[in-house]
This record gives sequence, structure tokens and C-alpha cells, in this order.
Amino acid sequence: MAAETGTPTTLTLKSNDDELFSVAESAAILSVTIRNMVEDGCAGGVIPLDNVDGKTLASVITYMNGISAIPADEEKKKSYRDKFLSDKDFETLADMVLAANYLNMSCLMDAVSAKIAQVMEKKSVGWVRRKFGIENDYTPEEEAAVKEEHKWTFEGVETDDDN
Amino acid sequence: MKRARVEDDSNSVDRISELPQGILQQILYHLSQDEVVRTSVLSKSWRYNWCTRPNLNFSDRSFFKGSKQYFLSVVHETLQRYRDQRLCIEEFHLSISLDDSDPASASLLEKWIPTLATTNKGMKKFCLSIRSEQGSGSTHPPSVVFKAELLQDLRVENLTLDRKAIDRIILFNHLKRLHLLDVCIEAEIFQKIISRCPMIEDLLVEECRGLRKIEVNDLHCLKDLYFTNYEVVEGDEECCSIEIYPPSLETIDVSYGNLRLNKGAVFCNLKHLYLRGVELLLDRMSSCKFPSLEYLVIGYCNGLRGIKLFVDAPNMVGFSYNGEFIPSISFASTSIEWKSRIYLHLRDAPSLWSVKLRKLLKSLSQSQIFLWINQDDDGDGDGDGDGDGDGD
Repeated sequence: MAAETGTPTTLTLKSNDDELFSVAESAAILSVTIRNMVEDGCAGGVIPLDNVDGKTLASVITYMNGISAIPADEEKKKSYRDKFLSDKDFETLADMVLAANYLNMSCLMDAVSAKIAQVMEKKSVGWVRRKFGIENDYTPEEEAAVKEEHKWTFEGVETDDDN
Repeated sequence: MKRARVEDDSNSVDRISELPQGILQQILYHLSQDEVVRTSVLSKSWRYNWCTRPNLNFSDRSFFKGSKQYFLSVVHETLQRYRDQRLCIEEFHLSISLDDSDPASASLLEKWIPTLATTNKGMKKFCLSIRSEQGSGSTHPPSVVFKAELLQDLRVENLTLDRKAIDRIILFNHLKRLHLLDVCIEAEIFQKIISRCPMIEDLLVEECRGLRKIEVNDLHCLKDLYFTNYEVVEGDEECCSIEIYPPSLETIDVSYGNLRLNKGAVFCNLKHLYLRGVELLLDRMSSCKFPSLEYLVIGYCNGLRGIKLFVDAPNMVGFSYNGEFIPSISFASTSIEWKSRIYLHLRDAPSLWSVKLRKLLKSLSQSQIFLWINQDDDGDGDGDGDGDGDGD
């Protein structure tokens, strides 16, 4: 593709549910996956992103545009990421982390992983199970054995007897 | 079979357990060591998720309320497991107390550090924090600390560093941050350590005893310098003399030390300059250039008495002065919007300082001035004034 000087190149991205999105190339290449496609010359038409649905892709593009508009200032970028993720529920975060992984966007991947980890921080095992819908398939004996094995991590943590 | 209970903001579908291992590891990366180990109890599929994460973070201060022995055994076993299973450690953080009365910690450290070095050559981050909890601070760190060539971040608290401790110090090509707190160290030893750490970006020297001189001109990567020694305020300890001129510096924060600037030095990258209780040689500052300086904070610097300070800083954003006399300061600033905050604690009658104050306000007239005057005695409440002056 002969890049025209002066006019910013726009890419068209297609989600796995066939939604089309226009995005500036300069923002889209935050994704290493997309950058590689552009460099390989496959970005002429529509770039299909088979692992990302339209809702998630829209959100990722908002992020791409937002973060690429910020000049090289790590603190401002960080506060943008924090704000961007602040109102996302876990469902969205899970979609986002999968999309960031597929699109190979390390900065978003790191921010979303940290956000999910933050949800688990300083919470009891029972709370984390409920929050994420994790089913406890240990027998009480098995669970007690695992706890005993790592008993130092349970020092001073409230016990929850409601598994 | 029991279902996980569903609450308003809870999920009935377990998506997190279904995430690919690589992603789960990235999430677990952000948890503390005890929290990540605790995930093993969530369910069978979580039992071993935590075991392979590439970062380890142990602190005997934060969560081991039990015995020190137990802490040591957990660290030891974990490191052995990583070695035996050939798991890669990309990041290792360890905070541990070392006391003469407790030789086990030091002797284990002597084992751990070489093991880490041989099995994890590609370690990206190695942060070590060592301290003594004995009042005297006379414990020496084990010599292995100064042979840990992968170290990136070293914090030493309440220990003694002398010739013996650094006898065989290696070249720390990765050390970016050095923090000495309450350390007993002489200038010669400090200088020797610094000369072996050419890549330091952050240098923090707090309340170090016996340190009379710091010279960091050869640290070409130094960005932040933080120095305090409040002891000199109370005791009769001599002030430490600090010589600085790496143009890479972005922040200088000195409390109660003697700052020696080179005449005519250009601090190209310095954005923040904080000086508290800095006694000498401030006059040299007038010949220096601060093209990037945004914030200048001067507090209780008697060195300013009787001298005219000129600050060549075209990009000022904020200036703050706190003191018991009115200084003579002027700025060469082309900045359009900057603020100066002047806090004065004055004892003399206004007639004695009003001329000086007018001069100061005039020299700051390019900035938006906030002025607070606190007049201490003579019972005349009128001396308390606060509000904006426009320096006209």
C-alpha cells in the first residue's frame, strides 16, 4: 500500500459478528497483531478479527483512540487507563483481557490483568468464589488439606465457613 | 452438587477459571505472594495455577506474623521448587531482617542469592530489602549482597556498611535504585559503592550516620536524588556535603545537607528542586541554568541570608518559599502562568521588613503570588495577614 503523505491512513476492522469499525492506523497499530498485518500488506481491505465481538472491539477502539491521543507521558497514560477501566464489570474485563491477548496489546493486557487482580485482593476465598462464580469442587477434607499445606497464607485472614 | 451462590454483582458463569493459562498467569502476577498462594483453595482447577507464576515476592514484615523460621522455610522451599522444576523467575522481591542474633537469615541469603543467579540469568527484576531490627544498627550485611550482580533495587536499613562489608563488591551493572536508610557509613565506603553502580537512577540517602560527603558527579543515569539528615538539626553532627552535577537529574530533594553546585552548571533535565535547611553555597545557584525547572521549593535555608539569589529557570510552574526572613530572589522566567507561594514567619516589626517584602513581591510580579505572613510575638494580631499580593 503506498501510504499517502499528509492524510492519516484509516483501517477498517471487522469483528466476529460482522460489525465494521474505522480507526486511524496510528491508533490501531497499538495492537501488534494489527501492526503485523499492516506491515505484511494485508490491511488493504477489511481486517477480520475473528476472536473479538463488536461490543468488545468498540471498547478496545475507544481505548486505542484515547491512549494514542496522549503524548509520551506515562503518568497521564496510566490515569487514562485507570479511568477507562474504572466502570467496567468483570464480564467486560474478561472479554477485554481475551481481546487484548489476541490483539497483542501489552499495555491494555497489563492494565486489565491488574484490574481483575485488584478485585481479588484482600478478599476471602469464599468471596472470590462467589464473585467469579467459581464452584468449589473440593471435599471439605481436601480443602482442609490444601489450607494446611499453605497455612501461612491464612494467618490473620478471616475464615469463611460458607463455601 | 453445590452451586456457587449468586449475589447481585456476582457471576453465575465461571469465566475466570476458563481463561487460558497465559492470561491467568498475567492476572496472578499482580497479586501478593500470600494472596496468590491462597488461590489454590478456590477449586481443583486453581490448585496449581499459582505455582508457576514468574514472580516471587516475600516480605517477613507484611504477612508472616508467625515465626521467622517458618518464613525462611517457605522462601527456601519455594526457591528450591522453582529450581528443581526449572521454572523461570523473572522477578524476585525479598524483604528480610538480618540480625547478628539470628544468623540463619544471613546464611540462607548466602545460599539463595547464588542459586538465583545461576538458575535465572534472564531475571528482569531483583529487588532486595535488608534491615536490622536491633537498635544499634551495628549488624553488617552478609557479603553475598554485594556480589548479587542481578540486583536492580537495593534497600539497606539500620545496618553498618564498612570496608569489611563491601570487601569484594562487584560491578552492579543493573542496579537502578539504591536506598540507604539509617545506615552507618563513611564517605569513602559510600563513594566506593557508588563507583560500582554506574546505572543508578534513584538514589535515596536518609538519616545515614557518619556520612560527611556525597559526590555523585559520575552517575550519568541519575534521575532522582533524595537526601535527608534531620539528625544535624538536633545533634551536633556535621552537615553532609553533597556535590551534584549529573545533567540527567530530574529531581533533587535535599533536607539538611550542604549542597555544592558547580559554578555555571546547566541542569538540563531538572524539573523539581526541593531544598530544606540547606546551609551553604546557595549563591552558586545564581550562576547555574535550569532550563527545565518547573518547581522550586525553598524552606528554612539560612544560606539565603544576605545573598541575592537569581534563578535562571524559564519554565517555572511553581515556586514556594518558607522561612523566617525575607529573601532576595529573582527569576528569569518566560513562563506565562506560574505561581509563587510565600510563607513568612517574622518576628520583627513590619517597618523593618516592609521594604524587603515590596522588593520580593516586585521581583515575583510575573507570577501569581500567594502570600502568608505570620508574625510571632508582640501580641499584635494585625501582623497576621494572608491573601493575594499582586506585587505591583
